[in-house]
Amino acid sequence: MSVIGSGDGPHFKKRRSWKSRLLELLLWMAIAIATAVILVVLSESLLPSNF
Amino acid sequence: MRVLRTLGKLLISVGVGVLLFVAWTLWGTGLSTNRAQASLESDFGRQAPVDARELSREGVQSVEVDDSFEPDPGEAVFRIVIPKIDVRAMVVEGVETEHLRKGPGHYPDCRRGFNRPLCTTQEAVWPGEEGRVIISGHRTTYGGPFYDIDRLRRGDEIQLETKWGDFTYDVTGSEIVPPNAQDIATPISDKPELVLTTCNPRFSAAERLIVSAELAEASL
Repeated sequence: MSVIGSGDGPHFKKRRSWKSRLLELLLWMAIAIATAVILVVLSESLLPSNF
Repeated sequence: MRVLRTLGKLLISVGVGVLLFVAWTLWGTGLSTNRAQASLESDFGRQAPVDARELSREGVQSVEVDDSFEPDPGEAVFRIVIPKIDVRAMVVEGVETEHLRKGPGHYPDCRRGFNRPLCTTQEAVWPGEEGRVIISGHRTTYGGPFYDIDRLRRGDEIQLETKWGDFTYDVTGSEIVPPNAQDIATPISDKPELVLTTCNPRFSAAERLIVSAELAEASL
């Protein structure tokens, strides 16, 4: 824990563990890949790229 | 504040997803085309020779390919080589979406397996024959075999290597037409001709780029 302010006495902020940060990064990567997959599937079935 | 931060991260992720999709469309699709081309080359190498005879009508030399030559949709039919723009690809029978994913497609007649409007009610014309051989290809996706055909100029060579002979066509010109222009899809001509069609401009299907050529040399 670290002290980040001293206005009304010390405030403490929990530092997130590296595991928690990694998990969050993996979540956002999964969302990016899922978006790409959905777009590929939609474009193949609804509007095949024709150029 | 926390909601805004999460929303920002979500939008960045979706944006990265869109970029991945664009990369797949432009380059990833070429991977499956490369695999299909390797398979088509192998299939073409195993095909038996096809009978054809020479014709001479009113001073115009051409050939007549045996009527029994009726390849199935998506089958390798001949090879196209355009030295100026480093194109060397197997041409498949048919111009529907699934055919053009494999490589350039030969515009077929409306026999079994082919559907209007992506086939002609006229008899299909094969390389060397009197009439117009029509080949369509992608410009930017699925390997973009016709990416550079706008660089072709009058006199540039286009070679078609078939199971009945090799044919060299000389480019006579090019034009840009609306995507619904149907007259170029007509195989009727009193000379042996070749027409290449692709999308124009690159990365768009707003227009069609047409490159025309005439038969200059044939060897059976």
